[in-house]
Amino acid sequence: MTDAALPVTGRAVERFAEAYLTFLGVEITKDGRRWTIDLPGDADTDLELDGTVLEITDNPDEVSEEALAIAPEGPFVERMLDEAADRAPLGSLSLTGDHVDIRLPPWLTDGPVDVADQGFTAYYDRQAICALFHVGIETVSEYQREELHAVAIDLNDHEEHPRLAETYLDLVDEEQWEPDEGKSIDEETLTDALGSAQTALKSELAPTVRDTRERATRAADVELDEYRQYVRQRRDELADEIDGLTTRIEDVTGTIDTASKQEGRVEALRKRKELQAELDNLRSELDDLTTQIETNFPEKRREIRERHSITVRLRPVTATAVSYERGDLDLTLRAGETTVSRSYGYAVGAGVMEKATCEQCGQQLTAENPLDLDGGKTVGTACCDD
Amino acid sequence: MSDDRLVEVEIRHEENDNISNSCLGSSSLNEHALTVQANRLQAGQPDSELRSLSHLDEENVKLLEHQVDAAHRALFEMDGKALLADEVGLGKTIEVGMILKEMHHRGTDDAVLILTPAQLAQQWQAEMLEKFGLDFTCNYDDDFRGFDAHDHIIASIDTAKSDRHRSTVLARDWDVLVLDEAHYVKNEDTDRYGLLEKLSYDYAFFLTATPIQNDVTDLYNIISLLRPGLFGTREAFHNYFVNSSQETLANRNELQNRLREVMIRNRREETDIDFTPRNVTTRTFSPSPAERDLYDAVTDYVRSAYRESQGQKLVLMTLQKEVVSSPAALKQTVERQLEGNDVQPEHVGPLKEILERVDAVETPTKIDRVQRITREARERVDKGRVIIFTQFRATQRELLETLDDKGYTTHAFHGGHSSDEKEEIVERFEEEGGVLVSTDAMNEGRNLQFCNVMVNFDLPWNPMKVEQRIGRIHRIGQDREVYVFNIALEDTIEEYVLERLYHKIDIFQQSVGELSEILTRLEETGRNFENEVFDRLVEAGSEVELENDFDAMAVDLQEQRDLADKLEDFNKGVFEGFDLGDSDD
Repeated sequence: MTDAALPVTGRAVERFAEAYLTFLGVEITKDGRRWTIDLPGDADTDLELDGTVLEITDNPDEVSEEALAIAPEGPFVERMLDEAADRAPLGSLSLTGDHVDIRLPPWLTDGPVDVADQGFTAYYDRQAICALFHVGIETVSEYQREELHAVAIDLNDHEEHPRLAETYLDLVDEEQWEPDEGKSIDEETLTDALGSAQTALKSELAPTVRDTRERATRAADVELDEYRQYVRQRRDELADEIDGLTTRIEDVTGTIDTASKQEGRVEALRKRKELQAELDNLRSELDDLTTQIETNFPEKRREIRERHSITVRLRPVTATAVSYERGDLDLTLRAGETTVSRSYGYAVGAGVMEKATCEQCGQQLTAENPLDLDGGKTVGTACCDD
Repeated sequence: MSDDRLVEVEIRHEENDNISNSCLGSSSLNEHALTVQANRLQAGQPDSELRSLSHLDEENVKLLEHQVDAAHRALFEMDGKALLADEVGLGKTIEVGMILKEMHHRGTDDAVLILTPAQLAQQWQAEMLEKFGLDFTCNYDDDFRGFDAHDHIIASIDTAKSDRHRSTVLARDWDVLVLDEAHYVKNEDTDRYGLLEKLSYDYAFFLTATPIQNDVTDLYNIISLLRPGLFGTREAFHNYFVNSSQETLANRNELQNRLREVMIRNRREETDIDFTPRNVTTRTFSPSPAERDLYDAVTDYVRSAYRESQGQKLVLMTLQKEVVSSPAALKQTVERQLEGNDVQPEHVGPLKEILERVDAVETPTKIDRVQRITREARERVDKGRVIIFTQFRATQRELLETLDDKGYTTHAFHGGHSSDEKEEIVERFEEEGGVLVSTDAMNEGRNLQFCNVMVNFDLPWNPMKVEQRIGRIHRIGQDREVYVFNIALEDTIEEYVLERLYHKIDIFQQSVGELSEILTRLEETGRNFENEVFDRLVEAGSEVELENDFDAMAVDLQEQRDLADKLEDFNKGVFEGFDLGDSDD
């Protein structure tokens, strides 16, 4: 899972605007930070641009009246991004050793050994899908996230290759990039690969989701706590009100018992009935609250927790079929006077594809246990280096 | 937290019709790459650069890396709700200034409320204007017409919570709330906390160097105002983070992890703040017999007039300050009093007597001695430009005349100049050298670090004002040792303030942050420094009583300072190892 979002800087927006307008066939005449636009009649765009002046600025509100602002969050830029974002969600490209520099693994670069010589021999092409997923994590509390992640999945074994995704993102962001189209894939393969990518993404999001759940749960607990306090307060108020009413009923009963006239007694009886009904209501409310307190508010708890529940949405927004070469990376390694040669399975863009191990003890080489040479053997610095 | 206690999660795998309906190969790779980039830009954080930085005048404010970083994180990583908890003296006000400037630049500051302790409100107002060009109305301004009448307000928190204003403060939806010295709002049972809890705001920045005052629960209260729910319920927080048998902190690492989402704390040793030494000398001189007579006459008059009616406090305080500044300053005020309509007949005699005694002073001792100090300073210090501060324009005029007569190159700076003129005066002083005689209108934003000698010709009774004067030359960027000379006459109020108060608590070596901490603590106990000084002077029945009273005040200040130091140490302990940046893991 790789974060694919780009910082929306003034420079990034300017670069994109120029690339997109050029793609539309627009002729741009630049005069400092003002661009005059000449849009061909058959240009495939809904943007109303012909004869317009575009102005590069930090603040969209500062441009002159006749001009449109090229600025982060500027309305014109938003429209342009909206149009471009839906334009061509599917594509294919080919990565060869000519496009991408060799990427050495950290278990080599973080260690004491120098690479005296390196060469990549391609044997065959593999294909992968590099897909961008929009990930939305929604809760009613404030911890909402909108993210874009890149996932690269090999079409043969459905393994995920994070470094391939990184290379892909770097390439797409390069200014001087002249890519080759790759091989096409069928719809079924695409659907399967997106399914695998979604599964990989889901498991990688798990810690984030758990973290968000814990926060949302805390927010729900706070809300329940406030409700609990309110209920307790109400219970105390009710108890006071009931005491008051009970006293009043006793007083009215006294009046009934001592009334000398029927009229007075009837009136007192009516009053007592009225008060008794009120008392019953309060008692019923008190019983209800007491039950809620004793059972720890099951309904309210359910209602609050439902409201704070989390929805995670995973939606693919683009998919690129990437053909990438696989073969062997031949390395000549040197430490002091010692030189050895080794070959490792390697893929363009994804790096070394096999787990390298210490030739002495078999422990895996990592950034923390990088490679060193011991006589003619490659060994781990941490596990077997004397 | 076990899974069954957590709220439910639903994961939705959504289709994208746009992808399903597209056909691979129907568009060029270039077009596809543009679609990919457009999606990436749409998902990106809106430009998280501090765009307004380039609009700040470096002459007015020098930004340090840790301050820019804090402003950036508070705005963009903490969604505009942050507790700025740098150690004392690292410039939290500057961080807020940057944040507010950026919000202004982005147009998200329609209604801003800054709440501060009473005696810091005007300093905030001056700093925001001079360093960041942000114009705030302060509740102490004459034209302050209430919390619903202005959009950018700096107010004392106690004014905001008062019965008179509370409802209007609460009736508004504020875009931004800034709370200075947030640790004074830690107690959930107080009116202040109640006000904050009910205030409606989108963004909030709380400042404190010591988030924890009495116990760790203070943190819960402050953070709950910023991010309700971050720490769950009060009971849960207490159970988890407080070791109840000893009432000490438990699970410190987890506490720090959670705080990282909302709190920024820079430590002094990790910043590049470096001040040159500050050399403070106090010279006390015997007044001439005529000056002694004058001082006694004024003090007697002030004491009896104050006992009679306390309504005249400000004028009386001014007279008491002027008599130790210069007879000229005093004369002007007394004459005005006599010319005014509200002078009481029984006061006319004593006031006229004061005027006669003013005329009896031939050459004021301080005026005479300041020339010697100026000459010495210029001889001893390389490129010795000297700035002399006085509180009064009349004293300033007299100083300028005397120094002009002696052949010094002089410059005058006071509140009557326009802002362009002030700019020119400072430039000329830098170019031509000599002596700048300034009133306290020399404000925060002026950068005088090319000068390293300062004379306090008279002394404000508010130590914050003294520090502000020194701060004009002793600031980041000053690369020479700074010399501060204080001048006072023996056995006067000025000597008491200097010797008994300022020196005893080492005020000349304290930073603004440390001082504000002491003064705010004093204010919390319901007192004001200037009033305390004045009250002690007028209420003392004898010389011995006066000395004892000032000693008692010094002890009180020392206690506040010790408490402030203790709290600072305690907070250092709690937040030791608090990560400055995002954790990589």
